[in-house]
Amino acid sequence: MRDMTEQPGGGTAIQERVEDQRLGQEPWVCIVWNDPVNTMQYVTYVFQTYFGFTKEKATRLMLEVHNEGRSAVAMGTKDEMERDVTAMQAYGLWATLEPAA
Amino acid sequence: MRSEFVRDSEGGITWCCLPFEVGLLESMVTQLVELVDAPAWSEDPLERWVNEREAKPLDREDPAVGRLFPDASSDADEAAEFRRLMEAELRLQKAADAEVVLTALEPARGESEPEVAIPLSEQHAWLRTLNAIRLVLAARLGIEDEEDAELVDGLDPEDERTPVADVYHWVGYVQALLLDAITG
Repeated sequence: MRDMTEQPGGGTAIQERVEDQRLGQEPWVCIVWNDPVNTMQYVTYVFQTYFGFTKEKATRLMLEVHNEGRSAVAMGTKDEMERDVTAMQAYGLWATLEPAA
Repeated sequence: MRSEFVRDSEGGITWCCLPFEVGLLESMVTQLVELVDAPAWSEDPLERWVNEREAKPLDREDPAVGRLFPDASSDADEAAEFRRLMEAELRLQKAADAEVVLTALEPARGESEPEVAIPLSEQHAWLRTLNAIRLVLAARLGIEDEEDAELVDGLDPEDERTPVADVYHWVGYVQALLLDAITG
């Protein structure tokens, strides 16, 4: 990601797991990947606005994407993750889905 | 005189921009609409389904298309399944966002002191569209990693990519200003 604003130094990324094994379905995750075009400010805003994350959590996930190359930003049923990946791609983020490890 | 986004007390934003910016953005958004080439929208689900089936497939050889509609999985079958379920919707969404921007720009065309109204309900469509244009231009400039991006930031003025890089930087600047106005 492009750092076009001043950012605090890289914090420790903490994986947050959302409970979701409704209906006995295997959980899936929505992954957002680092890319050289989307700005840090934009990615943080998208996480805040779409997932309703606090600025702190959105920033932490954004930094995880930036520093680790990817971050699992949501967990749920496959249908739910298809919906989230579609939304992320509509915002232009590079998002994929996969079964939760 | 410079471009400026002004937010009112209701959250609506007015873009006080330069005359050239209206035409340039219109041109960029129009190219985006052509690239996305979305199936025609219809209120009738059956008609919509037919439109989606008859839509021209995306040209996935084009890196810009690849960046706007990335594979949703490293597993080829999963990626194909996602495309089958979601691609038409994504194309429609991107086209609808672009249409919001074009409609907002139209009254400002030809004005010497253009003012573009961006109500609260349309601000995400604007952000998504500006971002899509950045992604397309980045693909045209061959930006694949951070190193490429830095290279494009420091191109020689004589470089043949400089005109495109200038537009890429301008769209990034406009998007950052809008985001500042939204979050400020």
